[in-house]
Amino acid sequence: MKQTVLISLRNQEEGLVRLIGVFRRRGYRIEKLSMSINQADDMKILVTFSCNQLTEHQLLHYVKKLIDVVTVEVVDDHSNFAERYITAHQSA
Amino acid sequence: MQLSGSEMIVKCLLEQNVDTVFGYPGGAIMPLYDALYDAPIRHVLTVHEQGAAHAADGYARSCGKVGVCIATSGPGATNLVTGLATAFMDSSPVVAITGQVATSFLGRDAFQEIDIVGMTMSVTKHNFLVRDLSSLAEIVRMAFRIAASGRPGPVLIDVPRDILLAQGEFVPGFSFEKENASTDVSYQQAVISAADAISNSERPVMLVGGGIKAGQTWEEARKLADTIGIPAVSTLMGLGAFSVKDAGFLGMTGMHGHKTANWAVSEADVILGIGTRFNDRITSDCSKYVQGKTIIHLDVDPAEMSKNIPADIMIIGDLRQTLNTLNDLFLQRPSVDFSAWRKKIANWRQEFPIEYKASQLNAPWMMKHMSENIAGKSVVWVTDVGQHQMWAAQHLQIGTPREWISPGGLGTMGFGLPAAIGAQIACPDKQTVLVVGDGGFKMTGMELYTAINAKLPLIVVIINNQALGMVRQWQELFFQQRYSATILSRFDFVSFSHACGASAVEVFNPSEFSSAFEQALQSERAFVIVANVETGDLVDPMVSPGQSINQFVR
Ligand SMILES: Cc1ncc(C[n+]2csc(CCOP(=O)(O)OP(=O)(O)O)c2C)c(N)n1
Repeated sequence: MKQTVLISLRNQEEGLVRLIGVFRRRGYRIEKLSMSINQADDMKILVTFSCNQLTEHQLLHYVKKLIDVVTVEVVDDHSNFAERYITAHQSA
Repeated sequence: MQLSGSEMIVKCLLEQNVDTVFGYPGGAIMPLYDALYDAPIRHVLTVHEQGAAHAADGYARSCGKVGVCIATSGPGATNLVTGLATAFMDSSPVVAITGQVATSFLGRDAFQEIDIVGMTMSVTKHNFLVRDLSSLAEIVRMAFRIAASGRPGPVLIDVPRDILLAQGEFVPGFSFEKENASTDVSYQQAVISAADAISNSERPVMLVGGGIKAGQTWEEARKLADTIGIPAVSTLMGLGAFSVKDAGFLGMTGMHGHKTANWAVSEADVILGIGTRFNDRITSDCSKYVQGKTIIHLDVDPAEMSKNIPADIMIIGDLRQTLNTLNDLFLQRPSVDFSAWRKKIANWRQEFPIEYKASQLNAPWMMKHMSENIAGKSVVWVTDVGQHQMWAAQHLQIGTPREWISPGGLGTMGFGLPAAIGAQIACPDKQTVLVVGDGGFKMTGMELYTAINAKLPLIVVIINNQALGMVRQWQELFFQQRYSATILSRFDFVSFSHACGASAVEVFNPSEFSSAFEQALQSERAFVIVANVETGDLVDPMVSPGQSINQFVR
């Protein structure tokens, strides 16, 4: 099953690696990823991933546990949303 | 106030009431060692950085304060990794400070540069590479806060050498944010459903895990058990939350759990799991484990919910609050009659008595003997990993939460001795007794020299079966007695101990053990008892791997 989430992260250098590490360690496959950093230095990341035996719910808990993560939202679809969203974020 | 980065770290450690740090110096961390030289903080020099990390962990587990370890960049930092991973798996609050090559050298594979932040991401709760002096103090404060709050865990701070040396403005003081209590509707509903499930049950069991100790909520758990009249069992990590003397406490459950405890869990219709992750050593086969049961799961960490087994009722949040709320609810309700259930449990107790043989020296007897002869001293029992660990868990008469320290999650051989050093330093008024195998002792045994230098009256009991016993046990039972790489040749532990400056005796029978233990209790320096037991002694009971937890191999 595929799922897309929008994650808002404090832009610390390690934040992105830490986030991706959680996906890998817990056995989720990232299928698509877009990101942007705005002037206020916060980072938005849109990830589409497929689940393994752990549920997507479980993953969200692990992501939320990361100290750099501010919010996590489940969103509908990567392709429709990503370009528009990321562009808007960058110019904000 | 103008201070160097190193001085700021020392100031921040003092703000956090740190009185002891464990570490090992080297090039990149030298500026911090210079600041420590005349700081009012005890520095314990270990033999190896792994020892420093385990000692900080043992310190934290024995007294509840954050343990601190320090290492240099490169090999010093990598040597910490096993210790951090051990603390991580057992949710122990540790702060590690590592030196790093100067900022201008980062990323150039400079001498002793290693990406320790990248390397420890998966074994720390959080970690930091300090990139400028202005953020240093706040990072140290944050590290302590993160390590100790919520579900505790290790935090690493990597500080480049130039930042340790740079001068800057230091503003003292720190704020402590308290985590908010849960009040939302789903939380309240879950608590009520949990109470209903227990009220309507016939055979409930409370399962206590290490989270009760990490959250320091054993009083509340005992009170709740008492109010409900529910029997309790413990995981390896939760031992001590209930006393073995508590009438309703049935002992340890899991792979090598007490038979009564495992039977009670198997036959239960409600499991109230508190601060446990329902690890595979506890559940054995998950689907059999949950069959016919309502699982109520209380934990501070939402990520634990339904991770290993599906929970029917999940209550996420501060354990103290939840336990108190449940207790209040039950006080208002008419009490439930669990006498039939208690009778059944009493029958199992009769059917599976714990018996001791004193005809020849054996570990279960030694555990019982030590518990009975500790002579009224407060004690901290520390173990390593293997058969001796299980014998200790099963047969020591553990009465209070902080008196049991064992590396449950990672199962790290070599943890025992350095962790015992940390515990003895944190609790000078208690007697620390380490129970360790001959294999595991050899892994970090040089730390005996640390114990001597730190003048610690540690008691070390080496259960010497001349084998990597736990692995050998599995070979005996499941690998047709093919003892591949598990039989150890004789080693002269007594001479080794003497070389480190410790007292040591070797014993072969119960009466020799008994007098050696008496002697050890009087000793003012580390005292090693080499207790020779049969290589073939096996840990009983043992659940058949992959079966339900009331099906025993032996
Ligand atoms: C660092 C590490 N390496 C390997 C193991 C696997 N292992 C688990 S128990 C055990 C045997 C331990 O032997 P010993 O220390 O003599 O204790 P005993 O089981 O004999 O009491 C081994 C090798 C481990 N847990 N940790």
